[in-house]
Amino acid sequence: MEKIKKLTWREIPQARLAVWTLIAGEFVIFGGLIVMYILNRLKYESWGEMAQHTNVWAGTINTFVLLTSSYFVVKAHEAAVHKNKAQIKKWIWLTIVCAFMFLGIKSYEYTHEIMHGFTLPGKHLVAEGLGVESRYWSFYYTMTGLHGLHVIAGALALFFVMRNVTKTDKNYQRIEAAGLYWHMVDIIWIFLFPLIYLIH
Amino acid sequence: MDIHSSNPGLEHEVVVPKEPDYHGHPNYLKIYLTLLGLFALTVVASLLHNPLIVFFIVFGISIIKGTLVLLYFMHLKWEPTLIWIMLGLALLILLFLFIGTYPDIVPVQRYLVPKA
Repeated sequence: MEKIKKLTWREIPQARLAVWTLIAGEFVIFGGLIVMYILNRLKYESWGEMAQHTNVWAGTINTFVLLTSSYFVVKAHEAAVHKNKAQIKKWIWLTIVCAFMFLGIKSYEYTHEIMHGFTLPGKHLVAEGLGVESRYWSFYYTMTGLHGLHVIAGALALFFVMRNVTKTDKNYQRIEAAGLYWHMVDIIWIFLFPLIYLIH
Repeated sequence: MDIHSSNPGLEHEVVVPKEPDYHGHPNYLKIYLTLLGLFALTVVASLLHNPLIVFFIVFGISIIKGTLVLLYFMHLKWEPTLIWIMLGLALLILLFLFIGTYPDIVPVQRYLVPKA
């Protein structure tokens, strides 16, 4: 088996160091939301009833889509090592298709939930004396909405990096940097999915 | 050194160029399939009736899945200690946030009221 040398901090490319710094910051932002969600979930048992109104099937499909997209991104990185432009294009485009699928399914979920009165201010729930329950939806839309924005940002970053690399035939290391960001988006969803959809 | 001139019999071998900061490429398909297996386990575990047990199981599986993505897909395993420290600090902040706000959000007064 090949022995791989661990890098020192002087050897790591600046772009990768920058993305890791960004990721550490993102972990604090999303982690903060997740911590607050868990604490409130412990306090309000009725949040479990609200979680039953989420579409578990849609969440399950979206989790599969994001996990698969993460695989596509590492394949793109592997192709970048070989400077294989055709393979880079193929894997990045597949990832972008996954991003569109994710956003499409999320939009369908939002439409369904809003039509049933589960909106951000929760007026419908507050009117029924369910103010505490309406906060579940505040967390739901904040966490999934912010995550959705990161999916859009990740897909755009991958697209522009792919276009730049395949046109200029240089900066192949940027594929890995953009890919790191995409994996971060995947990790966040790995935690959001069970918390929001599965724990009733 | 040119691999073809030094090894005349290897003209058809694929030469894998190494990145200057090469960190290896593990078997991604194996990790992806492991992630899918754990994902299926999460969905099955959520069918249990006790929410607290479900929470511990699914959150535990999520930690394993997240760690796999970090270590192998993001190659954290081969990254310098500096990156580990950065991420460790982020998690430490979250731990402080949890411990610091727990008494304010989840009622703990019943543990603090002295017995009459």
